Amino acid sequence: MKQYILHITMALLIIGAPSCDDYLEVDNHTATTEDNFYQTEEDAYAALYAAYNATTDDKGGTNEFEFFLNMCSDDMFTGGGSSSDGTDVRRFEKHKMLATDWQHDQFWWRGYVGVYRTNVALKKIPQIAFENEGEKARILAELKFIRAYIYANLVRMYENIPLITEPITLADADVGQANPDDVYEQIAIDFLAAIEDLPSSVEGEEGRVTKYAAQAMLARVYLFYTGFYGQTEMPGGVTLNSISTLVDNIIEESEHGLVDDFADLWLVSGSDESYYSKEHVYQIPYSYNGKGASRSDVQFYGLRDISNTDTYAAGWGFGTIHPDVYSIYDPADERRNATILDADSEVGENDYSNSYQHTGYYFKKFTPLSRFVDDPAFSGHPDGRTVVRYADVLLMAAELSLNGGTFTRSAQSYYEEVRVRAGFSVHPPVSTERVFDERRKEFFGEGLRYWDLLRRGIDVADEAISNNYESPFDVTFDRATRGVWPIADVQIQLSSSSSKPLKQNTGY
Amino acid sequence: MKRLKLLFVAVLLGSVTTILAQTLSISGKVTDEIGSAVPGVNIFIKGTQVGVISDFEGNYLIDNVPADAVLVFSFIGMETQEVQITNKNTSGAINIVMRSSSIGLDEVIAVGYGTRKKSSLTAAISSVGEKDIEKTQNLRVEQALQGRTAGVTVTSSSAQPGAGMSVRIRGAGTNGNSDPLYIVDGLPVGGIDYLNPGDIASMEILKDAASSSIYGARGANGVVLITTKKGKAQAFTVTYDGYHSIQNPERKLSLMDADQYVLFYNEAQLNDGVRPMDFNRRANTDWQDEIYNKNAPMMNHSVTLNGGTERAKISSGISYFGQEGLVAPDNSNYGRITARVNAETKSHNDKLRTGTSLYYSNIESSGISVNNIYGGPLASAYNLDPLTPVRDENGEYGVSDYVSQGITNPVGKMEYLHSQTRTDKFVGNMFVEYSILENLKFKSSYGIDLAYVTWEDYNPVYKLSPSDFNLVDDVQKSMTRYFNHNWENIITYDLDINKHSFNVVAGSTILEETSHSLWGSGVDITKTPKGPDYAYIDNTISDKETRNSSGGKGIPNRLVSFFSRVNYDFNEKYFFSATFRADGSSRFGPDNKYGYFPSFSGGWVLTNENFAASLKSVANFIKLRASWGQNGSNHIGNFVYVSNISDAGSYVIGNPLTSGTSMQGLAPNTIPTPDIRWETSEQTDIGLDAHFLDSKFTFTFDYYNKLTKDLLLSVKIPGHYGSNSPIDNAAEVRNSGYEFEFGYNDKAGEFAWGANANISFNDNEVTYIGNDEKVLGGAVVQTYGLVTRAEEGEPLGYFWGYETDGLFQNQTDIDNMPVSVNENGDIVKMLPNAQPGDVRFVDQNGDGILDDNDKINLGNSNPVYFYGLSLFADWKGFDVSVFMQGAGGHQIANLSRRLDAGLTNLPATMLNRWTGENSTNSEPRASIEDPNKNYSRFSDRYVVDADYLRIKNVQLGYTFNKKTLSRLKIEHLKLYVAAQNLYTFTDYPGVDVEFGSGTINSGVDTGTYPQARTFTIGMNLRF
Repeated sequence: MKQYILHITMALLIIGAPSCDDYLEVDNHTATTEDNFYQTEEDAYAALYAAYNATTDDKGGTNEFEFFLNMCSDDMFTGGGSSSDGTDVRRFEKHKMLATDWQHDQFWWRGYVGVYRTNVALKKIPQIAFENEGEKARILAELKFIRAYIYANLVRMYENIPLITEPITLADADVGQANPDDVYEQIAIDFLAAIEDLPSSVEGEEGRVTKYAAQAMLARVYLFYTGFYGQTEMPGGVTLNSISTLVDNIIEESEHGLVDDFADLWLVSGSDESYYSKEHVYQIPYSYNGKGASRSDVQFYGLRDISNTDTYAAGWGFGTIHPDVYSIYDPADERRNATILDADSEVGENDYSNSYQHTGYYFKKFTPLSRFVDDPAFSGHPDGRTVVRYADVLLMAAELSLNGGTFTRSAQSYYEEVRVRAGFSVHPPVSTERVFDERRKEFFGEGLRYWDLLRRGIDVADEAISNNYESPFDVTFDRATRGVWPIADVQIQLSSSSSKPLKQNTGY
Repeated sequence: MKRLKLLFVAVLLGSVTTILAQTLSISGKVTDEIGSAVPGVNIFIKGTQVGVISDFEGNYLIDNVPADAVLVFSFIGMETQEVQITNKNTSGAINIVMRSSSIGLDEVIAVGYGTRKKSSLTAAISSVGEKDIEKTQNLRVEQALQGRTAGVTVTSSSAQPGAGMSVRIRGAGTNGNSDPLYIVDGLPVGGIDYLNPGDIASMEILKDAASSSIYGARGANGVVLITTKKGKAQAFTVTYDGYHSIQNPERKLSLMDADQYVLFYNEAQLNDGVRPMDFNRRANTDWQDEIYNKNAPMMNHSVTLNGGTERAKISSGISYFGQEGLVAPDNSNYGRITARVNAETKSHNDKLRTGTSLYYSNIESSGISVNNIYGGPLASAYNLDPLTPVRDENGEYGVSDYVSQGITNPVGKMEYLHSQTRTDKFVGNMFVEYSILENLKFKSSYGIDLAYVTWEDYNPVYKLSPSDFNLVDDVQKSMTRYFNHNWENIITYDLDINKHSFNVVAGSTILEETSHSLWGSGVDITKTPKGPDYAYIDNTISDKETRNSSGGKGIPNRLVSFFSRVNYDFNEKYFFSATFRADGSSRFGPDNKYGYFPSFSGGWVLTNENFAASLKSVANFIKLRASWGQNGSNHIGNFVYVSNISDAGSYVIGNPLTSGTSMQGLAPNTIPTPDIRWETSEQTDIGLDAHFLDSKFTFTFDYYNKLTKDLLLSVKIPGHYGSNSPIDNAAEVRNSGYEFEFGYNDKAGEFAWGANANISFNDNEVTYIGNDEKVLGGAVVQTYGLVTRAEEGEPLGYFWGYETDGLFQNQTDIDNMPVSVNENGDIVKMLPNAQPGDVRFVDQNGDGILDDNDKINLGNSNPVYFYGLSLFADWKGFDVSVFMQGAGGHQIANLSRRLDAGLTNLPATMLNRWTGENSTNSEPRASIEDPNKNYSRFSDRYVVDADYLRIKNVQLGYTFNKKTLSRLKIEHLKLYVAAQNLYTFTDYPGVDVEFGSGTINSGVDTGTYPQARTFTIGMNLRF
């Protein structure tokens, strides 16, 4: 009998033998997964570049949100080939946006792709051992910068957005929309943390961000928040004094400055070397063919069917500019001819086709250029997205100073520095109104105008955007929306099964 | 001294035994019911290993039989008989008439991890035996299942040699792989194409959860247990089976000839307002005839050796099967060589039993692209215009003037195809079984499944059209080694207490599947003459740019399982069975690695009750069964639960116009779904088995309801997740239905006949989809768009398109079509370009706009019912059998016409076009422009009923008289002629109505391979 017990025990042991969980843990030796990635410094950099990639728009189509901000502002009209060309773009111009317009889905989706990439990287990279821990801190600071930059865009476009700061899982379906104040607080936290660990210069590594970029971006968001919501302080403890110190620091400490000739800032007249100049505080690079994406909205601004020019390549004739807008520039203002293309005189009336909403004036800072379009190595539009220029830092300093902020120099001197470069030698006394006029001329078409209008209050925005022009130039601002864009219908539908479905913004 | 004493005692005892137990010599003759001698019958003394085998005349002689012994006569396929030796037998002659075993009740069939008497089953298991398999000439094992049992649908995805078949047990219940689990001699194998059907002794199909849940995580789609032929304790026999066949296409598409083509397109141009062009009529080519291989041969030869004793039995065999395709004989063919050995031994004390089976298979196959609308010789033959000659005046392959887009000369296309797959597969299994006690057994078995699959493709220099050419030849090769191994340990315990009997099985298995692969390619073969014979990578230009290679290791898939089963029966009257299995799979995340799968079943044999005794003269056996259980499916890829890191675009560091470099970004592709679980299928089955008139009639009924939960599919998530759609458990599918099987066997004198029939009804419904649209997209076909999808409350994979309501006959019809008001306030017609003769699409929602909201369910490819019927009769050595099989209540989308390839040839039915008011209400007017999208809108015009009845096999055979044969020392000789796919009754106009179903995108015919009508002459010989 003993023997049988032994036999049975042995048999049970054999049957029980495979009881090891380790056996069911298998490694993926050829594919990269979240489990075997984020191990080396190279992995950390790849994760960082993925996050940076999300700040560009490499999906083609009209994905540049600045283009649509220009349409929403009082700077441009849709144009295009005909009344049926770009009807969705025209709804931005007319302030009759639909929640079904695909752009809203794209901006939203693309923004959150960046948020997800930064959240995962911020979670995983701290566990990677670096030879130089300072390098790791710098990468984490860049990721925070990118996340804050994306949220700053999303919250200004859509106001009521989900705030996600951890890698999301399917179980987090009920994240819901955050109070905008919480989003602004997170933006402040991220930018302030980034300032701590970012370098002051990135020579040879242009495209990566500096602490001055973070300081300038925070100032821009501060000015929007306090203006749009009528507050004196931004959540996250950003006060007039603290932000003034940060902006003053850029002017006093950094090597940034204005380039001598305004026209040099733009590829149409500048040299390839000035892609990153001392004036570029934050510029997002574009390229083509192996060096990143082509910037898609440039194609839209180009003249239709252009011929007989070595400089300009053909585009689709969008973004026509009203003569009233052309005339805000003093003929002596060097910025006028660098910003606006008087097509009939510069190209020739018969050498291009008229756009719909034709005015003869087109946007010149970003326009298709033969030397890139015809070059097989590029065949696209490498124009960078100039997010922050030093001129903006100076004008923000003037504005903050006028608001009572403490600066090393006077508001008048910051204001004059910008005007001198534009070719003026006589300057009126600075005022907030004059700073805004100067901003419009300086940053025309760079995506700043619409939010500059909104942050001065709905009345100012309505006054500027609504016009009495004849059709097809007539525009009426929709006060009910407060200028906020609609959340894409598809996103509302996709979230409808969660316990906190997305709610549409007021006015849509 | 002591030794001597012992010897003495032994001798003494021996003599005492001799004295006490007088022995006899018994002899006699074994015959069958019609008096023919039965050779090879195993005759032994019960309780001993002493035995003999009857000779060719059926005679036997057995010595030293104790006077009180019981002789056992056994022979496969016949009822075992026991004869008590009595005084009467002292004369020594016992003649025995062996009877064919009647259908079923005592038959022992395989169940998972054991065997069970059919009468004691509490689960729904169908069995296909050797005899059924032998009745038709099966090219593949799956064919032997087709139409043979209820609840199993077998359809060929294509009739191309070597093409796989889809086997669905009780409908499809998953979005992924719906194939059943195949277990060959206890070893799970990936596919069964390596097996020679002639090597199979039996197949059992475990249909309900009670039978398949012992296979837990892999049993959700049912389980097929295959037992290969084993050695028998009998005289050594050699069996030869062989046949030769010729094959021809069963049907071809009815297409236009040159006259009809020119007529139709000239009219179309007139209708389009274009001046008819002058067609260049170079030929009147029937492309189908040009590519078909007439009288394509197919052959099979196999030799089986079998024999042994009770202690050592062996069965071995070799076989060759070869088939030329009906199309492209050089490029569509299949050859299979198999060799196998099965051996079993038993120790002298009967405690230890061991067995080994080895199976080697070598398969060479090449095929053409099938059911592929983009090129491929078949799509080209169906779409190329008849005006193009096979060869032009210069002897070059004719280039069409009218058809483009990859639709090129199919005869040329066939010549330039050089793609071949070679598989070497080795399946081996060894077991040891030890009887610890008489009723307690321990069995351990280890099996391997090793396959090398090499694939090579040579792409020569050619030019068939301006868009279909290759300027530089290239060669690609790949080799993949698959290695799966499985170790299984089982304890079986039997206990009988009075009338209570228990059978307990407990065990574990551990399984690992791995793969390694290597791939290489090169361009520009420098060796001359160029051609497939010199297509080696070594012969291509060897610089880094042109030679490529890659290789890697597949992710191992591991499965660790524990299982147990208790069978209880009381007096063969009440049966109860419970199984439980726990599976751990490496495919799931840490929290969901294990799945648990229980089942319960019970049976009641009514006829064993006393009160039913009077019934017995009519119904000799009635059993009621019921079962419930769960099993799972882990048919998802590996590592679905973590997110893969993939290309996340790049970013330029430094000035992009000067020295900047593009840096690659990497980021998770999807959010991880660590909570991903097993798909679970839950099934209830209620069944009835009944035998009437001494089992002359048999009847089986089953009702089942199978719910597949947590279906794995890609889920749509809101944008703020910032990720692509991950795979998650997000849908449910229900299959429910009824199955009936009938059997009838009778005999009058030398005439025996019978019939088997089965029919199954299945209802398939998607009960839940976990996305907001409650819809999943399925098949997308060029120019037609999305044509199938799944939706809650509808069958999985239904055809989604427009309903049509005849044609617009005149301007009044046009004027009366629905309209809507657009944003400018204009009234817009629903079909603004419609003219008389165009199709009238139906505006389902009445909004006057024809859009996706007007698309409806146009049918689906899941048969509502399917059936099989076989009839057979024997008379004096002649036998005839007819086997028919069919399905109905389902549809096929006939989309083999390319709309984007120019003036393609067209179905002849389009000649019945509309030519004027009331000329027809079905075929629209001829048009190339198709402004009303009569052709390109996917509508009910393309969805065709696919009901069919196919005469699958007719066989007429003659078996020679044993007496005649015995003089030639031949035991058995049968000659037969047979026809396969003799005729198909169907209204379906496509080449083949038999079409796979059961996934979200099946049932779309985009130009398939014809079925072969085959005539065969064959022989079975045993000596």
